[in-house]
Amino acid sequence: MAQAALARETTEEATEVALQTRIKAGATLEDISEMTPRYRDVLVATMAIAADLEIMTLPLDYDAIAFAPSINDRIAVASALQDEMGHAQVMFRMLEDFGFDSYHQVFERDPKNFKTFFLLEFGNLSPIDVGLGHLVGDQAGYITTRDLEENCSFGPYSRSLRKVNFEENFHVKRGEYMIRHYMQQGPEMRKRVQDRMDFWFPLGAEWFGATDDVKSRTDQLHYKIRGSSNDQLRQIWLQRLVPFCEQVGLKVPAHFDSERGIYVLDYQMPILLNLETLKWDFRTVTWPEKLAQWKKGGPLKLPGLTRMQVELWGQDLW
Amino acid sequence: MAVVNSIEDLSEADKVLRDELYCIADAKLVLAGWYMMVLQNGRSIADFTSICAMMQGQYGHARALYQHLGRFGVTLDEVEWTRGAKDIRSPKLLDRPPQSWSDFVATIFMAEQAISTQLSAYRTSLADRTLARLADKILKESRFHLSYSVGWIKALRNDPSSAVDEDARRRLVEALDWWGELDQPDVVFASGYRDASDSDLRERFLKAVGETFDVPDGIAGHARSWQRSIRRNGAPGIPENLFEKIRFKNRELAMP
Amino acid sequence: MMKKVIDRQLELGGDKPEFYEVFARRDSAEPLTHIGSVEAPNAELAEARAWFVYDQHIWREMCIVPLSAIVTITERGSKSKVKVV
Repeated sequence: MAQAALARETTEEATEVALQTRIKAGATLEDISEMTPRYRDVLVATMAIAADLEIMTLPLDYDAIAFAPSINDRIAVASALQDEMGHAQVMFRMLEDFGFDSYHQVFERDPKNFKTFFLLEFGNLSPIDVGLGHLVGDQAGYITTRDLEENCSFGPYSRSLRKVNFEENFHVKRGEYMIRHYMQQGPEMRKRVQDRMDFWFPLGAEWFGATDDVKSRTDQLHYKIRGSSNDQLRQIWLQRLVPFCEQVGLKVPAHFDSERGIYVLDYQMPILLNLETLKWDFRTVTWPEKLAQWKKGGPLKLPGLTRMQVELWGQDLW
Repeated sequence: MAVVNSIEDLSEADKVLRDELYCIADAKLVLAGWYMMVLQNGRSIADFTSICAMMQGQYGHARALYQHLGRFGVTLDEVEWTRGAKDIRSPKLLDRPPQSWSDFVATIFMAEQAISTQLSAYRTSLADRTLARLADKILKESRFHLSYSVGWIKALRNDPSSAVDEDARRRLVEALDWWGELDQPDVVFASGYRDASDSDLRERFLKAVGETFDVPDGIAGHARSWQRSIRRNGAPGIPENLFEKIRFKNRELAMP
Repeated sequence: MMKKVIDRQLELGGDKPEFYEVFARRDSAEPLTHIGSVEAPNAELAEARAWFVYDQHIWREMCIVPLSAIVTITERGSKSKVKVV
């Protein structure tokens, strides 16, 4: 018995080594049958989070559609949301082939078990947030999914992200267009945008997760599910966002460190958001404290996902 | 055609045409609002996508029709901002909120069908070629909206206890309020803007509905106080609480 | 608040989802390409959903094929008959 188990383990290890060697040499996997259980787990976890992030935009964008200032603005937000739902559809469809039941995942799963990010868990207050959401949030999302498209060793997933990235890039451009416009509307409007940017910026910075010194998702990098580490992706985000902000006159807590040749935050991650005042406390805390805040989630998460799972009719509509 | 600044400068035919196009555009505006309000009730991810797309489609068509109305002195400022609930000229069909998914599906079927039927009579208009091309474009794009509702009706009918046929019967009566009083003079038809009269269009609508639902004989609604300018019986305007939900907000933040 | 009760048999086409594969091309010179997949209980709904979900281009030609109608040749025994992309 022990010998049989040992033999099995040895075979599994050999398959694992063979897979890793193939991936290292730049091979792309096309079918589940080519995966080892460990590879499969890492891939599925990555895809499942991406799918949850897409679906969370439904409650997030809904209010933005409803409070839009004009026909054009309502069309623009609805169009962005249509894209996100299209991405969710593609991702959940792919997960079906891995034995996931997308109907159950979307409509029956306890909202607490959705793996969304803090940045998506706060309601939009006005169209300024819509612009900042595109500029800060979609930018962060785009950088993450571009990396997956370029590097992911599972071919179908990488290819599915072509459509996603093609469209996300439009959202970022829309955000730049909106914020540039608002920043030209006089001091009062500039202050309104700045106030909201103060809220959004640290959310965007922490989108990429813990810093590399505490955590680098070695399995994801090991299997080339993605190509860059958290800090590397965050750096790309800073490179794109900080110069734009400086150009339009928005202050953000980050700057270019000419000695090191990189952008750096003016504070040390992680920091906590005061959920009552919605103001950031820039004193550095521990990662377990930060993880606890992420786990607890923002105010939109549970009500937003619950709304998606119920139906309202008649007088509940108007 | 010259752009006019005041309704008084319009000919009688243009005044009536202006009213009718306003009714069609507002029908699309409120129908778009329906898609917005029902979005989160979608029953699959593909429904979320489809409803978002149909919402944009209807808003886009409404915008194009309002722009066309610019030649009659209508401004986007009036369309989006200065009007109140009483000024919206959408069909009565869209006043009452959907009571269930099947009622929603039955209503959007009726609304899409009614609006497309009316617009179909502008496709060949020689009096206004721009309008004819616009009508044709809108009709082509609306085809998928109809497939969507017909597909859902078929799916719901798989359940023998489905209320979709009953819902459709009630909504059909409400929809016919759009063609309420056919004895009134039909100037838009007489002046060549439309190639079919309102009474022909009502028949065309019933025939189209009949391909999906049973249409009972003598379903006529009661015309008591129908006004052509709003294509409704009774008082003008839509319910205040519906208007509050679909009106635009945060004007100072509108993008140019 | 009423939890959505979705009858999978009627609304989704069965216990297991019914998929339609979507093919399209932007112009006549391009080959007709598999661009994705939608779930629907009938062809009308599949048509609308395919049109709305895959609207990243203005397609010159688009068609859908029920997944059940596809006979696999090289992918026999593979878990997915047609790769999503």
